[in-house]
Amino acid sequence: MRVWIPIGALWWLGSYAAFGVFALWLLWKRKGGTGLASSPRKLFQRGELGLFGLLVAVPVVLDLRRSDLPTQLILTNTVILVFSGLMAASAWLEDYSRVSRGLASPDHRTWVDSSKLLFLVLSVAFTTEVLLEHSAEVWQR
Amino acid sequence: MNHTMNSPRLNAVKVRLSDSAVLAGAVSLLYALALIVCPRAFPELLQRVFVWGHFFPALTVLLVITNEILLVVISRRRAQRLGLFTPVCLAILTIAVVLDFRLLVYAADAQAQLSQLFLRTSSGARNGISSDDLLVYTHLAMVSGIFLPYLLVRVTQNYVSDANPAQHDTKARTAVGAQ
Repeated sequence: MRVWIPIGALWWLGSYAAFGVFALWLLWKRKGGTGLASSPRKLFQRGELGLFGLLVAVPVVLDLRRSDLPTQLILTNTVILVFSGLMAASAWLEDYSRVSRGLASPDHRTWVDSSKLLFLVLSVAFTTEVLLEHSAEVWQR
Repeated sequence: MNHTMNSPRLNAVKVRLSDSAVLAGAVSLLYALALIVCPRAFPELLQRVFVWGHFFPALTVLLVITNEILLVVISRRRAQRLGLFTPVCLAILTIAVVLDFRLLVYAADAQAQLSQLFLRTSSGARNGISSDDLLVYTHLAMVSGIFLPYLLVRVTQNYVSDANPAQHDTKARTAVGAQ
């Protein structure tokens, strides 16, 4: 059994995780974001990770459009990716609406929802990239 | 209306989208891992199961069992009462999602067969849907089969609980006042 390494998809996932989350957190810490905001949980407590999830979905949709897959498959995959991204962004939107109405913001719940929904978007996006790379590489060897 | 809202019949288990999101994400990652470890054997296995005709029944059973187990885990973790209505709804929604994908896959299969028959666009060993397309469809069916039923259940719960928004606002404002 020969293991296949999807280098492009791994590079894609690593760069998004590094630049999207950890670089932002490190930048925040360098600018003096100490104390309460010194952890990613405190920095993204308002559900900003959900917005990041929506941003992650967009380049995968563009990659899908460039692929050789059938149109209905591209459309189905796009709908599911965008839908997951929108659900992730809704964690931030829900918190923002609560705060703007003067209601209590459940910080813990917002963080948990946004991080878990970001995990879903990242997983689906990563697997989609793996599938695209697989169709381009493996059968052509 | 208030009597209906306060009755114990509606004190059912509350699901959150993040519960199913973790499971759907984990399944998606496992799928990618299976493809990385077995880049040729895994697609061929799927194709073989599809040709045998056991693909969608197996997928339906797998997803329904997974969703029901997740619902039981959620209700136990939050110590909420699990009635009969939510599991049945969840099973029906899961079956509906898989049926939708079944229609999509069979339509794609028929389209591929027709194009191979009339246009001779491909020289594959087997006529019909390709392994790559089946791989993508299976991935989408698994993720949607877990995420979409919970999303619909969640939306329904939101609709029921938003039936009396003034009560919600009062509760929330009381909580802010207490803080």
